[in-house]
Amino acid sequence: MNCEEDLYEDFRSSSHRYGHPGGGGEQLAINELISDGSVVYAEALWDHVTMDDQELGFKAGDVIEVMDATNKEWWWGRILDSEGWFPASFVRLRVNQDEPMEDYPLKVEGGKEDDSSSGTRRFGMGQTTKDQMRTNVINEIISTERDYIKHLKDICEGYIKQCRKRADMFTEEQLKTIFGNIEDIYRCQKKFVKALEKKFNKDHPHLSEVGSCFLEYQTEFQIYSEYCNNHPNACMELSRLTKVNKYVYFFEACRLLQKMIDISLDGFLLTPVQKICKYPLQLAELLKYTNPQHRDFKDVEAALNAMKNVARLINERKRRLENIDKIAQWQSSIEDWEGEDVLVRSSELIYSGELAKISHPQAKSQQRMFFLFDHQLVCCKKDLLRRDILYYKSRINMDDMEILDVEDGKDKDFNISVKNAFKLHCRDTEEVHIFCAKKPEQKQRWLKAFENERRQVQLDQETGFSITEVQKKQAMLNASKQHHTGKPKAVTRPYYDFLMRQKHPTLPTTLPQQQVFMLAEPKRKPSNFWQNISRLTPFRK
Amino acid sequence: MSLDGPPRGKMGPYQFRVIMLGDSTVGKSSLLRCYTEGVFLDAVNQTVGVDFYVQFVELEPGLRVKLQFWDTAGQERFRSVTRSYYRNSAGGMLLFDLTNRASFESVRQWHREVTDTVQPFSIIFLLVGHKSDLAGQRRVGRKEAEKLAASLGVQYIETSAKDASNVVQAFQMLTLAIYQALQTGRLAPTEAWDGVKSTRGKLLPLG
Repeated sequence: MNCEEDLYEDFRSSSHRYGHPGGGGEQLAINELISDGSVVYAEALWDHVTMDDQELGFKAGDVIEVMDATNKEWWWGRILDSEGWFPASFVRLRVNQDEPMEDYPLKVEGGKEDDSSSGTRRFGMGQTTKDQMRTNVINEIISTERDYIKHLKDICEGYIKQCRKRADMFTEEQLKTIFGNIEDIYRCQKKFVKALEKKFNKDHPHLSEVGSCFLEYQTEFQIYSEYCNNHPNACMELSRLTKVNKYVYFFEACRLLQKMIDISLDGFLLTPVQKICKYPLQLAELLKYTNPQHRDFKDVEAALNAMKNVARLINERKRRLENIDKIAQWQSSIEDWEGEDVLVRSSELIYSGELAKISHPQAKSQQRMFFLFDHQLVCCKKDLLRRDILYYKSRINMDDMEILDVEDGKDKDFNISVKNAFKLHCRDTEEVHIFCAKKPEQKQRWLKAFENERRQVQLDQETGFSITEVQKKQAMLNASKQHHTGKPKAVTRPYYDFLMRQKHPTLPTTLPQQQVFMLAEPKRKPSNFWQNISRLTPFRK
Repeated sequence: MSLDGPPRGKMGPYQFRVIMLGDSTVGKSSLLRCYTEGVFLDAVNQTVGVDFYVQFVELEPGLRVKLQFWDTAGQERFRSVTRSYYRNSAGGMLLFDLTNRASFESVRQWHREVTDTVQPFSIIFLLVGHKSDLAGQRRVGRKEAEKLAASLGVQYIETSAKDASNVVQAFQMLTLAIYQALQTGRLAPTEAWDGVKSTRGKLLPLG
């Protein structure tokens, strides 16, 4: 995945304290290397376009031999025949200082230099630089971990402990909302930092083998999911409380008493969210400076993957949780809903669109809107005049269905000619439905969507993803509240937007769609609702 | 702008949380770092870990504002989780790379994503065309960027972390815009009392 690499690229090139060549110890190390006579390579991160002949122009990706790095901002370097000044911030030191020969033709002409000796020297020195870099990254991992533990301790001891003493101000439930499971996180991280310290080689930090620590904790780190999911509630509760002066004073007093830096409580509460997203970045950086021969290499590589997965999983769970509100809203916008709430079994809208459906031979084909969720396909009918209003018609349980691709032409079972069709067939009851899309692409998208639906269901089973009854109830309650606050049930314009955004041309071209909804509802501010639900749909990258 | 010590003015410090937004590789961190580390060698700036940066801005004599930045670069793909950063932010730097058309086209999406998340509150944005030094590779014209800014109701500026052009100005502009929005009530602090305003345009007691 290309974009994924780019992200790391971005991070490496920019935000990393040690990755930046200007940063203290590292710069000293470079100069030492250069004055030792070794060759230091840097890789251009940005294009440096220059008209000045004192300056060295290059393109992002070019490899530059750094010859002088005494100045913090401008270094002197060489590419092939040309030498010149260039901004140090435009480059980063090459990861593999030991392998520049392959893709970088040095203009070393035979006889000028003793190739073999310079080769070994380069290798040796390159290794030193890399070790230095690895030391830096290890140091950073350790020091940010210690900082983090300090934050967690401050929150648990500086705030939570104090709050518990004030039963007149905080109920236990309120504290649970504000601080989530941060005390569990604190306990977990305390163990984790201990494990890290154990692996930390003080004398030769670059030899530390920390990869295994991350691997060991990958499952336990999933407790961050609960924290991240609760975080919005924490923010809401906090902003509700801090409307009252007494709470503002109280929190401020806690902060001062604990001698914490001048960041508000809601800032401190962000640190776990940030931390769990940071591990993959730190490990990517560590892997960069870990030789394949290093004893830690395999573990670091695995740890990077594990931490990426943890962050991805936590992100995915949060996303799904955000979705259920939108699904609840969607359901309450449907007229004549029957049966259980869609959230009872489903939590993700996989795909939606218009199809012609025939359920029995000899029956008439019906033009319907279909919404494919995990486990079920919901069928709705559009209002004849107000095409934005949907009526609930039926649903199909996808767990029992198999999907059959139907070739264009005469269908035997239904005895009709079909085009762009597929069937849903129930293995147990022999129930069969045939669906026709307007265009072959649409059919393909539906077939793909059904595959995705099964994959999603399976994945959720594997990862144990589920949404609690409380969360579902809350979502339905929120959605019904919104309706009772006087909003008309139909969502005219946004529904149209929704269809358009879906980018599958389901709108009948013969119908003057624009006119219809203009007639129905002349002035309406577009709400975000349909835009939101359209964002739920898959085929994301 | 002179910064000669921690702020002790009667008025401040206001504390604004600012978020950096935009596609990956548009240069969010480099702009931030150029601002917080590179420009003012004599500036008072604390870096608390690498997790967030703090920088003081003096809008007018005696009026110091403390900006708090959270480093979220590299975390773009964990979008649902990083939404947590949007809350309680007063300002957003909406970045795109002048040499990268796609990043410009994402601006609206970023804008909508944030406004949707923080509603019913609002955030003050500044549209920033970054990497202005790469004039030869420019793919986004100033006119169209200005047009986009106007349609979003925000100001526009072009910056470069390479030559540090307009970097300070950009942050100054955003800070001023937030401050003015607070003054005019467009951005409402959730509560105001005794000169201590909470969250949105957070004004903390002197620390």
